[in-house]
Amino acid sequence: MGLSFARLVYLAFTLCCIVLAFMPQAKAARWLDLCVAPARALGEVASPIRWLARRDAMAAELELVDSVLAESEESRALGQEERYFAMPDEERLISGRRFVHAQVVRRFSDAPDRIECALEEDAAQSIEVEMPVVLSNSFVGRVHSIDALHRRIIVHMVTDKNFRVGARSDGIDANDPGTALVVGGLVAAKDSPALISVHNPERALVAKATIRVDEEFNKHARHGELSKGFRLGVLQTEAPDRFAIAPEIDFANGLFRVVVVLPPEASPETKPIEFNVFADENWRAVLAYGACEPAPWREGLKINLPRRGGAREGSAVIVGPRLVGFISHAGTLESDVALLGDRGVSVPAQARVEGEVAPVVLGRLIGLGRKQSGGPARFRWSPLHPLANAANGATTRRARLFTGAGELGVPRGLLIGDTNLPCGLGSYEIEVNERVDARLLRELWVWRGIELEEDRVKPRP
Amino acid sequence: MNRTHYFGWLFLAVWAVWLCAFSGYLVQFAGLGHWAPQLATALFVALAARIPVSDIPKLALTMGLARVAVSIDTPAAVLASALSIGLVLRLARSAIQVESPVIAAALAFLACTLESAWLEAVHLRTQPTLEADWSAAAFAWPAGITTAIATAAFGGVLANLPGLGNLIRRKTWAVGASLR
Repeated sequence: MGLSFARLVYLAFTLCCIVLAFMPQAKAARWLDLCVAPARALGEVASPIRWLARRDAMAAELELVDSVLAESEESRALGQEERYFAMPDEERLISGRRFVHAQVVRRFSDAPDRIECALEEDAAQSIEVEMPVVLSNSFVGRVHSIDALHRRIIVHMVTDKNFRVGARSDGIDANDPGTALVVGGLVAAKDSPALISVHNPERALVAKATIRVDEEFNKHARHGELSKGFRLGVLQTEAPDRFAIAPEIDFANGLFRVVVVLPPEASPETKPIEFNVFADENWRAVLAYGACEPAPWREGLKINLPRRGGAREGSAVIVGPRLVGFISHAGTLESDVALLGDRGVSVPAQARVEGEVAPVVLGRLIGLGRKQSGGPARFRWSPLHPLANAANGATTRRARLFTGAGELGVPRGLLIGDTNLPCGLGSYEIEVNERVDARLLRELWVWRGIELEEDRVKPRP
Repeated sequence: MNRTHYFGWLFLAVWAVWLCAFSGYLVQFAGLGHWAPQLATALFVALAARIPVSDIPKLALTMGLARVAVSIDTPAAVLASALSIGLVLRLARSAIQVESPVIAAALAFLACTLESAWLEAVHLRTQPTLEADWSAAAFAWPAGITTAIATAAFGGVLANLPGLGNLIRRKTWAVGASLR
């Protein structure tokens, strides 16, 4: 077999495809996508295969109609609980302060220690740069910048290597004033939980002491009094004679909401702005036309929403208030959706755990696929803080999972499913039961968060 | 190439996408899971043994497009796998009698297993959240076996699906017989 021009072209094209397979975001991959756009028509040709499962599909749609209202209400109630439990509960942290709630809407890949938050109150004019930002009794960071027009703030977190805040350890007894120190940045240790660095303690530290913000030695601190007393974490021995702080918040994956601390005279408290996740303008209605993925370890479907129509990779896809998956590929004429049973899907999650009053932040769940088609979706869960055993001593606790915030593509409060969460520290494989098989449904909705954000930051002519 | 020949390729695309989707149905809804045969791969091997050698690249491209139409794997990965299988079948055609059911079954097993392993490798590599876990790719062999059986048993039927007759290379004996 000689190497004619046609064979050379064939080989070159095959090699290009092999390389592009590992570079899905490359520009050439978009061109290839354009070339294979006619496959969209072929996909429609195959859609009648779904008729084979039409009885199950009708049953799933009926089941959905029955539960949509109750589930939406559950999601809204969860939002109110999140607000309630985001507030500090120590009396000394509440008095003489005013609090403005904000929801984390995005993280920056080039600045992982900064988060963008949407204010839930019309109080942007009262907020100043450097004001403390907290979650419950824990210190998160300071306001870095304010976008009053869009009611957004960017928060500089204590985990940043350039961040410094004065602190003091709790004393051993009432006569002990504790040890003053400086805190900021993460300890550079591979394969260990994120610990916050300790700098320049005034005297020897004692392990297990609680560290709180105290900026009495920092004459330049603009809002030192407001941040005083908020917890940074618990001191622990990182290495012999080396200490670090174990934070009480999962800064990397579990920060969904924060509270800005203001002086009480800053502005009168206004009515909170309730953001309705399920409002029509936040979603695009789409039709699924193919759910027959031939690979047994993948689970997905095709939807009739192209990139030009607003599809963006990472956007959540729902039916009613239930999360069913994410757009994995936004194409020229259609998009692919990776369902929750697909390996590799990643979702920020929180849970309402039976017997717990407050919502429990779970952090990030990583999809492991299903053991068998139609069975529960498996996820990897590595809790930063262990879940306590149930009152009756059981080591697993029933929980209903919802999405958390912090990603433009995923709104908070979408129902993921029901599971039994294991108690204690470790890396667990949990099985989540969804109430409906998303592969059977035809009408779905795609979250417009990324698209709306692109419109927001687009320079105006 | 005449008009009926174009229709032959169009019919092939439609049959291929139907077979891909039907395999998907067997995987996702009929409970066959890893044991579901990849019928489009069986059609690929069956036709590669029967069409003119110069048409194998077009066949590979058509089969790739058909899978792109139903799969959520990236188009580049799917096309790379289809074109590579086309290359292997082209080389096999120049060395052995691919039409033999046993050899066709062996080639179908190879094509199905390699395609599954390749697509899973790309998925693992492009998903930053996934650890390198090859257990899924290791389970590609059941589909390889059922695909091989389907190719050996129904290869002839698949290659003669309605509309595909124009694509198949006419044998000397058959041409002579028609002249007689």
